[in-house]
Amino acid sequence: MEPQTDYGVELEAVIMIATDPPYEETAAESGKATHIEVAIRLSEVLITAECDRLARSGQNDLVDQLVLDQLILRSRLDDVAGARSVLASYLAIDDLSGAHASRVTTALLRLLREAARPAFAIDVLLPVFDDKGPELANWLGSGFVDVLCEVGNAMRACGGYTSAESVYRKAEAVAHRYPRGTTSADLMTLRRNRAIVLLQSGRPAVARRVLAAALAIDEFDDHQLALVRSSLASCQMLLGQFEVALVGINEALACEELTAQERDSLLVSRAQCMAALAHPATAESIDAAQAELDPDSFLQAMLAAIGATYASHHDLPDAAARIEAALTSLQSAERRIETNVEQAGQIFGLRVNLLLQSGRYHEVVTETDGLAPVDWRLITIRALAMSELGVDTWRRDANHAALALIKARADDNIAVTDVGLMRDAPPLQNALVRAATRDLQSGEINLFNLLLAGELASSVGGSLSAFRSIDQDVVEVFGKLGMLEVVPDRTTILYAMADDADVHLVALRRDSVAYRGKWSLQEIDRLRRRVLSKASRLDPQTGDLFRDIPSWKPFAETLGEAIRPCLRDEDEMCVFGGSALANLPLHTALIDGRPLCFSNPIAFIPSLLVLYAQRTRPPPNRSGAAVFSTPSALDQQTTVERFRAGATEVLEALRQLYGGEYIRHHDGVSANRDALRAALTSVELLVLCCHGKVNRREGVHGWEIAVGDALPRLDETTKADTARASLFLWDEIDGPTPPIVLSGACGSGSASYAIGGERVSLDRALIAGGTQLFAGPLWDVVIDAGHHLLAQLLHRSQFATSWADAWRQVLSYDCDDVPAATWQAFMLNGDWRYSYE
Amino acid sequence: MSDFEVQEVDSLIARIMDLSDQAAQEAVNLLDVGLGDQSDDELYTEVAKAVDRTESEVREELAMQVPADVAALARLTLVMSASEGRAEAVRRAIDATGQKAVVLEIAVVGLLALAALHIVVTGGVKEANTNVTATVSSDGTITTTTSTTKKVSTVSESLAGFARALLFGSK
Repeated sequence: MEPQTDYGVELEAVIMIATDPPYEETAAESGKATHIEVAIRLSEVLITAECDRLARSGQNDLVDQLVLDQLILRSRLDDVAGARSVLASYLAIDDLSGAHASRVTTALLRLLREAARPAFAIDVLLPVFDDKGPELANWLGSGFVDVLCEVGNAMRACGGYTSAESVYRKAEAVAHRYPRGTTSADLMTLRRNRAIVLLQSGRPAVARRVLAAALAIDEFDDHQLALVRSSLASCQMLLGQFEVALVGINEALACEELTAQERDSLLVSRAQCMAALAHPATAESIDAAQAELDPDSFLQAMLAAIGATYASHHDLPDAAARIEAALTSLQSAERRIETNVEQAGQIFGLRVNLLLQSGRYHEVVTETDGLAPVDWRLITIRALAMSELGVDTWRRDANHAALALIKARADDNIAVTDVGLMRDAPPLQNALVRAATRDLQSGEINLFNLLLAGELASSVGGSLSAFRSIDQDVVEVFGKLGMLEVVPDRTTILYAMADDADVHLVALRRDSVAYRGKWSLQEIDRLRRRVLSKASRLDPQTGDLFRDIPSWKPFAETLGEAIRPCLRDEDEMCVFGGSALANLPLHTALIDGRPLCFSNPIAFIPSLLVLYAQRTRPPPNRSGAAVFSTPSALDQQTTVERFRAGATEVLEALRQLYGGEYIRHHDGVSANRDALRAALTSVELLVLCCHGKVNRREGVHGWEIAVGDALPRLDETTKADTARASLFLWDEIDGPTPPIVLSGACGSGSASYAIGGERVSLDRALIAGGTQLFAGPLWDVVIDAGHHLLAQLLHRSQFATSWADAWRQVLSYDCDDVPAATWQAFMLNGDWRYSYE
Repeated sequence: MSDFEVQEVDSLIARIMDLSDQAAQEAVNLLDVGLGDQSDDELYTEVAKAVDRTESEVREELAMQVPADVAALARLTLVMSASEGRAEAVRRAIDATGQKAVVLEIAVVGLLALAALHIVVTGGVKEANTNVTATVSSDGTITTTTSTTKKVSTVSESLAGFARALLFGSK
């Protein structure tokens, strides 16, 4: 018979000391944290002995409680390793089967629910799962995933978006690793919740990818499918993809199992999409939806505001009545939900915006009096109203709003691959450009306002990400340095920016600034669409921008005229900046009938801040080159041969630069995702000889790569395309990246613009990740001819003064047999002055 | 049209029908039948008007098509172009395929096929090859008949609706 030793009393005392709430709260201040540590050490000894005794006497339920107490204590010390060891010992004390299983489950679930830091608990549990996975998975089933989901929901409700996202991601990993007992509904819920939290934290592009992957992989019932489509549509709307969003919303609305709330929310989303697309049935659809919604609901007020804004923008006969009704509805909703700060703020913003649109400027100024300076959206509305009233101080307000926006974005932990940062910025940009151009007309140039507006429209998100890496405050650059210091010697930067009517061009030199004229924004938009659409349909061998796109030549001549006076020497550097003229082949501007790119070195920069960041960040410590060459499995034999010939020429050029041993060639099936990721993080120079995929309407920019042991086969274009394994998309590039990236893939040099004007492209993600220079074509090019140009660029880069100068030489001397539409397509993006290490 | 020219067109049509889906799509992308430098957006407006639908409806329908259906529509457009006096343009387009490093957007290919079909059936036909007939039934079956061959393929019902409207009128 074993001696009876009861440790229970001592143990209880120790745990009480350690878990006493007042004690815990003051521990950090009073230095009593050591008491908790002592308590844990004591409890460890006591628990081990007590567990042993209880287990032998069959009282396992008491063991569970003791272990749980100790794990919670350890979580307070952030002692992950210790907690893991406790758990491992605990799981070893009994045969993991039968009745003990349910107790283990209960204990683990309690740990997740009760621990002060659920993420800590998950970190402890997941490695244990790796050891005991198969056995534990048998017992835990979907219950474990459910609890993780609950934990994530709780974190989300408290505004802990990052933690919640992390919990959902981990839960998904658990569900994947131990699929037994995990239903498709669990997975759908996890992915959808993760997407919602990503949306809430301003990351719609990532959310979209999560949901697109879910749609491509998971199996859903009708209701689940409708919910996923609804969430996906929300992402697409934030990214400005209203057409695809509308398709998804209509499909979701066809589901008969939607709850009333889900349906109402979809009706509002549908109204937003239709209004954004100026769909002819917008007004009718909004009226029909309004009849279905609860008249006192928050959504009803939003719907009324959407209808009124649409009617006002399109001068519908009932616009005035709709505005009045919407203002009443918003005001009443605002009163009802004043305790819900987020919703109340949203409603207030909608109401003030509606007042502005309906010309009630005095009311806007009164309502927005005394706003906090960080509330940049409302300050912008106020500035616009004051501008309309002729109050001089509106410029100051607009500047404050711009600085508040820039600062707010700098403070947020937003990755460069997230878009949607700028979705509320257009009115602000518009206000700033208008302020600056009014000054211009009176002969006084407000450079600060003009460039601030240009920078706002030129991927502030990307700029800030670059800036964070060099620990530099953007506002400081604007305020103290002055933008002209960013301009290198013997260089002209032609900076384009737009307000709601015109595109303005300003020439910046280190010692001067000159306004170079304006074009109608509508005309530029039409030209851009025509050039990009038609250029991709040109005959590969005989197509020529100047001959086949009649509207291009007159613009190229006008642009040449605007540029000519700025260029003091024939071979001076010419840089095009800003987003207002992006996606146009500005390097073919005609001066005396000759494209500018033949006489002057040319590069494109997204913004001055990006250039500044590129020049001031530490040089990369990299060497060697990598070439990715892969045709598609669907290509004709002649196409395959063109890829092979192009890659051979590029490799030969690289051998002369680096020597054979420093070049990695990923050919065919070896040009896959893992290899590309590895190359992005390691080599100095990366060349891509593969197919490109671009859908500017949906913000899709990527390279086609091999998958597993097969060549890429992108033979379907569906809404889930972005999740397809054979595409390597821009938002998968998350730095660090090679200093030089050359791409022969069709369209890989083009960009699209998300709602708000934020720039989305391969070069944006690469430059933010560390790339100094990216070269790629704006449209479709002949495979081997494009690679020939890149090979020649590599040759000439050894002897030229800069990459831009090397490119000028290529165009001047190596282009005789290259089809016109191919050389016309290529652009150099970023800092043109990089030299090899 | 001489017998020799008829045979030439017949043989071109046989070549069209043998194109892979990808090559057929690329050929219609490169087909120059006088679309000019209109942007895709402008073509959407034009096609929507021609098929008596709204622009949004055309965009939505094309966005949902699968590649095989769009390839079948592309072949129909190429066949009609060849048979309606544009054999040289079709031949050039087919010969030009496989040179570019692009993955085509299915919706845009569908749009170009419809826009080209519209031009071919409405304007500037020099001399038709009367030995070629093409029919599109409402279930999406396309039948192309020449003096030597008869080919049957299918497209989705929505594409069939568009093609029928362009070929035979929207009413």
